[in-house]
Amino acid sequence: MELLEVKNLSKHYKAFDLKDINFTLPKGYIMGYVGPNGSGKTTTLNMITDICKCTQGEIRIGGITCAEDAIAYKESIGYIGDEFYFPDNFRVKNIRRVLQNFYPAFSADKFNQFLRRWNLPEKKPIKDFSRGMKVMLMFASVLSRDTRLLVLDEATNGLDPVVRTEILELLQEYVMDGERSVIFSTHILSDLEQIADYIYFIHQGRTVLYDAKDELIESYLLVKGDRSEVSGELEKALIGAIDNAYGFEALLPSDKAGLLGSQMHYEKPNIDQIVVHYIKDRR
Amino acid sequence: MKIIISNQSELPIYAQIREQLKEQILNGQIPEGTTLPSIRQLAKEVGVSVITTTRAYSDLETEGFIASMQGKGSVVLSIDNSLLKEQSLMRIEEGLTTAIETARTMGMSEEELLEVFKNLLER
Amino acid sequence: MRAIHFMMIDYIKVKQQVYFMPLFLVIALLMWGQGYSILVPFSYMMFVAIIFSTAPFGACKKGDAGFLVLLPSTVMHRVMGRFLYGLSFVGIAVICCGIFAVIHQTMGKDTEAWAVPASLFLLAFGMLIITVEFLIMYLIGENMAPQLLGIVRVAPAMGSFFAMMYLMDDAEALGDIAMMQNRNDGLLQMGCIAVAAALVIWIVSAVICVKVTAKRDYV
Repeated sequence: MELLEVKNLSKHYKAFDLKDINFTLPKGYIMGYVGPNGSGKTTTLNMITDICKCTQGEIRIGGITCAEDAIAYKESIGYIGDEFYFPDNFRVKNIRRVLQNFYPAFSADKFNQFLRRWNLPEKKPIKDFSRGMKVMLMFASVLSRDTRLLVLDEATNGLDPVVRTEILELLQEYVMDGERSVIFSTHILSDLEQIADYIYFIHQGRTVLYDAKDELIESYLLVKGDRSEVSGELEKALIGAIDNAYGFEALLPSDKAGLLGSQMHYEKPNIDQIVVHYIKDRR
Repeated sequence: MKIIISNQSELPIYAQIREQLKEQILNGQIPEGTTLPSIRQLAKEVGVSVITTTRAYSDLETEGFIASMQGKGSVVLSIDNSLLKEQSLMRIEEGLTTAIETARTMGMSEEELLEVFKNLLER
Repeated sequence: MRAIHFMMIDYIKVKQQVYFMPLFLVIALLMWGQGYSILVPFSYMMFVAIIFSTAPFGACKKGDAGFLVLLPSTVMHRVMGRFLYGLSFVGIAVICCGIFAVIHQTMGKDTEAWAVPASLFLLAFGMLIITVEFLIMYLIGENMAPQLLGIVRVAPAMGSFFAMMYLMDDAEALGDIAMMQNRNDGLLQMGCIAVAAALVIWIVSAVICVKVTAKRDYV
């Protein structure tokens, strides 16, 4: 039961190309869309939300494309941007009004509950909200209606750990019924990593890795040791070795573990480490 | 039911969950017939991905500790004593085999080894 | 309906500017009180309508797209909303002028015989200016610097207003218009046709803008 299907997605800009993005996200799961700054994460998400048109390819949510039924397509998306997207001089009541006008499933009661729960003041001009309040206001506007896919673009950047933790819980609550899914982009995973079921990793507009997170973590070892111990064959198998004065650190496919010397230390990597070494490898 | 996830552990997260549940089932803290929280519930409570908890449960299922029933969720099965015994026996055999192998490489006689074994038993 | 909702959003976006509307109305009233021809406040109201109708273009931010573009809608709804917003100010100007005219009449002041067709031409002219400005905004306004945008917005309105004033002040020009009226009684029909034509051009332009922006990002 795929909720989101992305096929051969490409976007051509003068200075940047995003090419052949392919993935599916089943109902009830969370995908982390990761990569360094400028790798094409926002471009991809903007095409999913139809803020940008793709040069090539196809995106389906619940089986339909935006061209087939723009209204239904957009109703099913809840989007939280890296920028605060409400017009500057809007007030909370304006937002509520507009949401009511456009979304039949919008519940003003729910919206007000979220406002109270997160202490969002009704009267204060929204442009004076703190970063955390702005993000929570976007969440309130999205969660108070009936969506099926949550798209978060760097939404947790610049938030304190308390709010981040709250958002993690929100996301897990969101996919709880097994019908709705989340795709989030980020360049710093840390806490978000734990709840992601799938990881899609892009760099310079190209796919690097795409797999279930657990599989990904198990397919690699983070190896540390002394350079002098690295034989020719191991050298070839290492991914993105980073040297320092006292040794090196690199990624190694788990099936090559047999090549490791006895003095070498290895451990399971986290996604950030996989990303760092892969990018090092591509330079 | 208690689950503590450690990021420092060498075990992957799904294995940590599996082992901790297994231990609690074996020592009776989670009694037979208990309905475990759903995969998604557990994922949310522990703060891990759904795929991770799915894998932990399916491992427990293949090992015969739990059974998932349509509409009822995952239920803890009675601990099969023979299964438990068999597992223990395997562990004993493993340990003794290692001991015997070490003894052979050292050139110890059978009598000497038995002597060590007896002494250990009396201790 | 969605187009009308987008029109409302435009109103909220520029509400600080809309609050000044009554002020402009007062200025128009003062002009009228000065004993000028009724066409002076009329053309002033049209000038105000032209300036207000393009205000949302100046209030657009790329960042808003995450909210506005994602509202369940098509490009047509969004562009039509903006065009309706523009037309609504023409409507407001027409209503204000209508009220002026009624007061003017009940007070028993003279009305030039050619005032009605001239007002119609004025209306058609105003709509045309707004349409052309909208075309400019939608076709090339996307990456325009805010300063330039301001000039593009205000200059045609100012220009046409002062041209109108000049025409009005110029006795000879007035005489010409009066003569034309004497010679040709079809002026009223021509005025009506001009307004109808302006409306048609308005609709065609809206369609063009929908077509052009449909392929664009962030609209």
